[in-house]
Amino acid sequence: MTTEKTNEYKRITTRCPQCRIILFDQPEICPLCQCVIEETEGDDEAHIRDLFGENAPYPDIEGRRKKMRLALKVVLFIFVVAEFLMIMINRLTAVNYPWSMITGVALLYIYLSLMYWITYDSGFASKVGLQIVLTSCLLFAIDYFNGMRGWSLEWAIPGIILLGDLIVAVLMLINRSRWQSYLLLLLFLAIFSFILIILYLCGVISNILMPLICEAVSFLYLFVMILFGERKAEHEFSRRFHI
Amino acid sequence: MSEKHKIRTRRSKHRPAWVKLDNTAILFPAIASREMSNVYRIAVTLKEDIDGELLQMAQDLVRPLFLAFRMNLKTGIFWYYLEENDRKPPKVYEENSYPGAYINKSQNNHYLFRVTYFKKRINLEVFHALTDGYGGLLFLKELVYQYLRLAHPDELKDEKDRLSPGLVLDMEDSYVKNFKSAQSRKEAYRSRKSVIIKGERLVRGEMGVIHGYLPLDQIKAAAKKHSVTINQYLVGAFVYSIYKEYLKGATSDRPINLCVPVDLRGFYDSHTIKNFFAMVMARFQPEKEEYSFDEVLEIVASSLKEQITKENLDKILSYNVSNEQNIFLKPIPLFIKNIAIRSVYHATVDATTATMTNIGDVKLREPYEKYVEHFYAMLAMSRGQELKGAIVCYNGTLIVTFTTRFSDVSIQKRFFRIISNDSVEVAIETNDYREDE
Repeated sequence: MTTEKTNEYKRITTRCPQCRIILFDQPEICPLCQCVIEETEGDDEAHIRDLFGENAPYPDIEGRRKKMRLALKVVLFIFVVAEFLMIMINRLTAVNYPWSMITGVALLYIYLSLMYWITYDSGFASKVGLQIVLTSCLLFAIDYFNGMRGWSLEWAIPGIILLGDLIVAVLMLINRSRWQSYLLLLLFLAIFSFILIILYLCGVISNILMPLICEAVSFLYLFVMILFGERKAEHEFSRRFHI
Repeated sequence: MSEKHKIRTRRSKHRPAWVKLDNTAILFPAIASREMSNVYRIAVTLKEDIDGELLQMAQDLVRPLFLAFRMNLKTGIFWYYLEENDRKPPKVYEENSYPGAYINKSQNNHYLFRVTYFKKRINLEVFHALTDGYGGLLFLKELVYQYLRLAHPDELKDEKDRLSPGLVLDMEDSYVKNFKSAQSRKEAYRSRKSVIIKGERLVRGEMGVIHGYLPLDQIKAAAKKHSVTINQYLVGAFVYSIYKEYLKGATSDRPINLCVPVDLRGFYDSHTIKNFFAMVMARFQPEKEEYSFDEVLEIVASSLKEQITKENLDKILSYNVSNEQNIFLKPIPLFIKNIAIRSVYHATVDATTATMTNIGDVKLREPYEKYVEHFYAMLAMSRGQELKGAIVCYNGTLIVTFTTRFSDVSIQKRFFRIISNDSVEVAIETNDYREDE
């Protein structure tokens, strides 16, 4: 390396007197042994440049990724405090009616939904599927804390399943090129409806009307999509069910 | 016509292709999380600053030609699988996370890789279920060629907007193809508990990176002096550093097991760009006080030599694939398989102390060589292994990169000092992660 070339170089390296290792980035202390560093000589600098070429610094990573986590923690904190206050008010005002449990379940439902939609990395279909399950759990819990009159299983949850069928129809229309990717969600809704019929057969619920409508709609919908979807539906199922 | 219009799109109405996950890839979706992303990074630095728009154009040119990289991970009833993704291309953007950060599919148009840049560096980060370092490197090289062709249209006017001639994009499952059922169902891995490195951690989400630049001819001479290969030398130095700095040179009833991935393509005449590697363990159990570096090196080298043989690799491959092919395991629903895979994985994490992988010597096509400075490889952390090393060599410089979640760097210090003591000039560079402490 010529002297002229040496002079062109901007100093980019230092050397640790303890490790005898060259340090890019000119830190004041060695990142390995915490020893105060010494500057490299001009010739040394040129030799290093010749030997190793240029280094590649890293960006300063912002705390952006922490903001979402902090926001969720703040929401959790507010919910916990709110629920604590509700329990206290409930204890002082209406001891025989545990309405604070319903607000607790509702807050839990909101928090889990937020967590799931914001942080969980999955496709839209599976997010909708889990939201249906969460909503069904919320309705069941409200029914339970109101004396378990069975309206959740007989009317509300079947209603949610029908809403699910409608959402699938909308999604299929919006996302026509990939409509078949919602078939599994449709199958899930048909199975979910079937569970309600089993509950009727087991005597857990007494009104079969809505579960039957629900099953008929979900099953017919699935059947029609398979029938007219032909090869796309067939391929979707062969992929999803490959062993 | 502008380059943008030349981009060949494949958003046709054809039926999207799909492939089963290869034998190794089955593990990754089951265990992947933000804490254990299973994402590796291969980076390249040019001798000029990167233009983000040109890099996006280069990616839009290359990605449609690599089926392996335009895949989306889907969940089946019994297995995950990869399906061709016809969504918009993933955005190229300036680096804003630590290497190997989790790839959020929903925020990445469901692609399983990302391309970022910072100053002179281009980073390719890949979810391991797609491909291993071999496939990642093929993609990155083609991306660099296209980027440079766009950035230097006059100098590289004879270069084409297509992949390099002779490039093999085979997507066979080489595990299944080379599986010999007769081999044995006998366990090929010994899952004995090993030394697990523990220590004070960095702030959650942070990752420390230390690159060590080593001149290839000098490291070759150092390895030759100890009568071992470069890989054995570096793995031996890593094991010795753990022994001296973590075990303080004391005896231990647990061995140091350093996991070394072996590229199987050379052993089985495969050119697949899906995963095709096996893990072997460099084992060293300190049974007496004060081993010298040469003693440790000899033990590690012979441990690797014993295991990196066609016969042993056949055995490992057969053992791994036989589990996947088991007719009783196949029809078990995926969510149960996932629970089982996770619990088996967590039960065996303490069989490995750390990992050191070697991507090998990168060669570029002649007209592009002069624009490229360095290549780097980095591994993300996994449970029980919060210090990993990755080696890559380009144009006479070998770069060893340690990634870690520990704030203590005494193992890395020992490693580079060992090499420096063998008359190798060592330069290091960090990502300045310790400044935030």
